Amino acid sequence: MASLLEAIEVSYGYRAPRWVIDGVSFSVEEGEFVGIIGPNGAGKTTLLKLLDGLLEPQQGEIRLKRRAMREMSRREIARQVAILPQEVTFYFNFTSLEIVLQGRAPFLGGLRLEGEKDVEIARNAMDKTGTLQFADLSITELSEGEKQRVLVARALTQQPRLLLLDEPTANLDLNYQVEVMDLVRARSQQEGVAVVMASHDINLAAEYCDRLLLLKEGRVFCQGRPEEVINERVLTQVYECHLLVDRNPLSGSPRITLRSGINQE
Amino acid sequence: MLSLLLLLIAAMVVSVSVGSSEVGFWQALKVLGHSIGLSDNPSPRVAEMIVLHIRLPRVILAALVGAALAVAGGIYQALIRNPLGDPYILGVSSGAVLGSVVGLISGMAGNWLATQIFAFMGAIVAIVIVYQVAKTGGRINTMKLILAGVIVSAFFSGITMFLFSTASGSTITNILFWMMGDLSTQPLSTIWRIAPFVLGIMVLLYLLSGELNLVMVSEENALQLGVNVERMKKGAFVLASLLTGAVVSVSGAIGFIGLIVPNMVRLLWGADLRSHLPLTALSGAGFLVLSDTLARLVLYPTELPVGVITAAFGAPFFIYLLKQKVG
Repeated sequence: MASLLEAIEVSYGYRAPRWVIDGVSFSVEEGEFVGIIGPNGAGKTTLLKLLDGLLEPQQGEIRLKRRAMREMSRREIARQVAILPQEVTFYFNFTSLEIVLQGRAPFLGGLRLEGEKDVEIARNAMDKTGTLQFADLSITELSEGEKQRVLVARALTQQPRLLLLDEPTANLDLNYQVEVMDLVRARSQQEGVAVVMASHDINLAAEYCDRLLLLKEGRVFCQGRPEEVINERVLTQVYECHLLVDRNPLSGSPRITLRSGINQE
Repeated sequence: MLSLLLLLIAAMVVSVSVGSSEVGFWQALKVLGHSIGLSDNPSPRVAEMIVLHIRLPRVILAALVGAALAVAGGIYQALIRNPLGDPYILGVSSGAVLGSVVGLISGMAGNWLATQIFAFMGAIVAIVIVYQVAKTGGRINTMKLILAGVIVSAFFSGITMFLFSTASGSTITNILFWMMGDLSTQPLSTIWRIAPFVLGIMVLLYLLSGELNLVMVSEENALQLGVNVERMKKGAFVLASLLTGAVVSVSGAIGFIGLIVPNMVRLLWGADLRSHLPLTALSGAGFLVLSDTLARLVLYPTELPVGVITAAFGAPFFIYLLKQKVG
């Protein structure tokens, strides 16, 4: 069976030798949860934008269900791929429900007039992300964490086959981190939605992802199951700091702990 | 929506019924009533002339221009994601003024289509310059946007002034009054010419409102949700500038309607353009009809250019928005 998403030797950047993304290849299966980790500036966000077709690779190709993404219209892509952006600033007083309903846009006609069914999908997603009480409030009045959950609701409302998450927990309190991640994982397992998550939080990625892609300076440093990627030797080379890897006592996933003070010795 | 429409009609009736000549309020109402078949006894000929051929065209024109400028402002605000978007502030109006003046002076005063085209070209040139100057790395910088608008306005006004100084004396007064925003000099025939054009463009813009909603969050947002952003954006910019050019060539540069009205409507009824645009059109029409009525009454029996009234409301509102908005 062909993969849902394939990236083949993808390079992207401003000019030739200085690629931001440099010859990256990997694939994502239906229902799989893949994490992209790596230091700041390694190209995590850029890679996600390439996977959503928001950026076009200068070299290589990205295929969605065997079709080259650069040959697909924006609308075709939007019906299958949703992205949760890292940060969105809102300038106008749309209500939260209006923002969530925008997730239905790829499926609607010219004026994007939503039907009852669409509103139901949106309200359902808001219910699950605990944002239904904000439905009629202006999005500009919400806190960063509340906005983030509204945007998660919107991504779910888009009912994608591939869900791209860019630092999904960056603005969330601990309880919502777990809630949002559990919700996404459930969608992935129950409905076969593939998830690709960029995160600087290695422990979170190790806990939720089936597979990890470790990026360093735009290249894939290594990829594999969390146990394969997360070990002291690899991480020390990529992050250039000392850390301890053991196991999360609850789930058994690999876990890192920073070692402080060692650099001064 | 319906109540707003009724309010607009009421404002128009009141506006038709007051004025600086001796035809009184009730007399004017009688003329109106007679003309739409509500009453059988005809009014004196003079009263009929004044109401139907002087005041009524003016009020209809005010409604049309107000709606067009307000809608253009609403569209610019959506496109640049900034509540300060307004044809006047962005320099689009002065571009259209310059275009019209070029058209008028180069001897095409009688040719309304040529004047329209010149006005439109001026508007487009202005918005392209301002947009390019204010854009830094895909983002529109508010400070740069306002400065670019001011500079483009000043530059275009400078050229307009230069053209004046080379023009013959008799036309100058006329053009000057028109430049400050004037609704009084147009016959009904002008209105019938621009009305289908203005209404047509507003309908086209309305068809884009679903996609523009997505752009109001961010261009990437719209892209991600399946919109061909570049094409849609160009279309909307051109249509909004056409709209501005069309009305400016007739009424002059009336400021601040495109600023006040869409923002007020958004505060009162929300940002969704699918309801925002029609409400903005109705409110803009009403606002300019009332402003024009004031312009006729404040210094009775002399008249003010209506641009003076809208500026008196608009400038403080502009400062308020600027204070509210950071960045």
